[in-house]
Amino acid sequence: MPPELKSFDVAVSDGRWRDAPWLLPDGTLPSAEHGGRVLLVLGKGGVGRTATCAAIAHGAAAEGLRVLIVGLDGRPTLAALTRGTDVTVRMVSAGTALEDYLLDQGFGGFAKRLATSGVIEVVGAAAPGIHDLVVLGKVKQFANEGRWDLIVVDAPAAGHATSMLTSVDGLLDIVEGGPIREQAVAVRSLLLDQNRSAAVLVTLAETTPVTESLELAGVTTESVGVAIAAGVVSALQPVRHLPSPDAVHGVRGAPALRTLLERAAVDAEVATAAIDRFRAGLGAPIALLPRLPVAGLDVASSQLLGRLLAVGGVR
Amino acid sequence: MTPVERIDSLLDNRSVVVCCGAGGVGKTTMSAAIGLAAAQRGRKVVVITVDPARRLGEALGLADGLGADPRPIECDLVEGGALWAMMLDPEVELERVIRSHAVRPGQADEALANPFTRSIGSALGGTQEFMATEVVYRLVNDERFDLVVVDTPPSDRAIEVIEAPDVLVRFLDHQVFKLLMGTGGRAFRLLSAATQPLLRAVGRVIGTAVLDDVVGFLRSFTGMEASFRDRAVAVRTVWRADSTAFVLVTAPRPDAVEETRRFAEQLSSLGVGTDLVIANRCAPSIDLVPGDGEWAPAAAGSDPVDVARSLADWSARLYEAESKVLADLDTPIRIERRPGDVHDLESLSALARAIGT
Repeated sequence: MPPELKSFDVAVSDGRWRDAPWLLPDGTLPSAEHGGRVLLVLGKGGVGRTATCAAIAHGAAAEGLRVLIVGLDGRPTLAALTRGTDVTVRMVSAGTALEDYLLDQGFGGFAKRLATSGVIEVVGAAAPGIHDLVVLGKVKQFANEGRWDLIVVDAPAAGHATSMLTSVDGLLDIVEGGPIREQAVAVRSLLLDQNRSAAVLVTLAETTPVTESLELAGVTTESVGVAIAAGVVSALQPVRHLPSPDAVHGVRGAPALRTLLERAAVDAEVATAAIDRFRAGLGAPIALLPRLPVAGLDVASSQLLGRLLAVGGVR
Repeated sequence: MTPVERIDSLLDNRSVVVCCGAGGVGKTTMSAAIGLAAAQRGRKVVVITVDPARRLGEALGLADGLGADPRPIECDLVEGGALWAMMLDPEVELERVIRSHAVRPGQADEALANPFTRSIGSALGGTQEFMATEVVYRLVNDERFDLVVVDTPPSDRAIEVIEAPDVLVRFLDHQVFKLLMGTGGRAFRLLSAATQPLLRAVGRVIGTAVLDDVVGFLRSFTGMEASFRDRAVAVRTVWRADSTAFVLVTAPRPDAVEETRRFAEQLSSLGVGTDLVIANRCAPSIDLVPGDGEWAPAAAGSDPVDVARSLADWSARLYEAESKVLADLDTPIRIERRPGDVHDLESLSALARAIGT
């Protein structure tokens, strides 16, 4: 445990943060009897989506669940945040998922040629979303394997997440039969089954990110029909009840502390309003996570965020 | 050049500024601030956002948002300066492009009537990138403006915007395209879509009716290839011109910094140099007195001075951590995070001053 995080650890274990919403709408933990439960973690770029995925995974693993994170962006971050832990990470890319899919469909050696010849690219224009569908199909396959209690999907950033989720219905509209349609039907039934799939929306405690996150939530529930399990507000300054700037009058370093408190007060005001709006708009439990003062998260800090999440985050 | 000299040159002398960066670093807001700062120096600026986000409109204080044509922004500027803004609408642009490139009467209507033209305009990833190059070309040649600020989509897609002209040229020369268009020579023409094995296999996956529609879609463009090609070549030149500057916006986070480095390498492999790196939303550097002990989250009811000191310690640690992260970049300009949010012209002006002075 890095020294700068020790105090967080203490705060967690003495129960100071305990006031907890947990990830499922009915307050229960996912378990094997649900089959693999799929949690889609959604949010715009830069809001802490990947960090939240790792935190959720560590939190759930600490409760004894078998957890898989599915990464879709090909970046090494998820692997770095889980190395040496019980959490498994699988990266899925559209290209390899498509190739796997064609192989499964009995296209044999032709699959590779189809995927690499450029024909698929031209045809991808006809059925936009074919790549997204095979990626979701891969997630469905993990869910059906029975090896995982919880599958956390680090979805692509907001705009692409929307097109990924709507690709299923889009394909059902234009493809009338054949293997693609069967796949779309199967993925759709997994996404719409509230016992098996749900979304977590991640945001920063600022005006525009909350607006964007609520829009994404709207698409997720209304256009796609995926239930929302929880919201996560990330990267908060760690003090909820700020003293007045006057409180530091006369102490050592007062002018700098005063400036700091004044800035923090503006941030806190914006953050409080944003969190309230997020909570009201989402209609689901909200967990709050602090910005840790570290040069990049590692396994230890990520597990710490997981414990914070499990007890409800910073209140 | 020092960072300040580089900014001056950017704001005063360039005719295209392309802002790129990872998602969530404040790229759109930074594009608007660069546009405003240049307009305040007397330039005639248009800011175009290629990313379909409303943030540009919000940053400029426009409640009703932006459209597919430049609209002037009301703000305090020096004599001669002007600030305009617009948002790329791929569907509108696609129609414009088809109408302006059509080579025979009725062709545009036919192309637009194909069911895939609509779905491609709204759903297909690449379309947005190709349309972006069309609009940039139009704006660069528009006499109302002497500076075009381009707000690109997040990194990977931004590279696609820069690469789009090359990709289009390659695509137009691609065997598969020629095959589908029936322009690949006699042997190709003899093979109908239904008998060609590759296409037949594709048809098995997505259905032959869909495949026929794609072929119909591509063929409806017959004859427009040459002007698409000319336009692509012209935009390719714009991206690499000395009068064009590339600004990489980043954040003091390891993933964003890593993405910025990778992006700069990708740009450089395309023959495009990076002119400026701006690290946005950094922790403030104020003269902090470190706390006496270890920083701890203050419990309710703690002594107010202890709470203030713990916050100071957290801030100081954050500043140090960010310095460590940013050390991987070549002399980035560090812009402090503003308390609250940039959501109107007033807060945007403050950001523009932070860049421009």
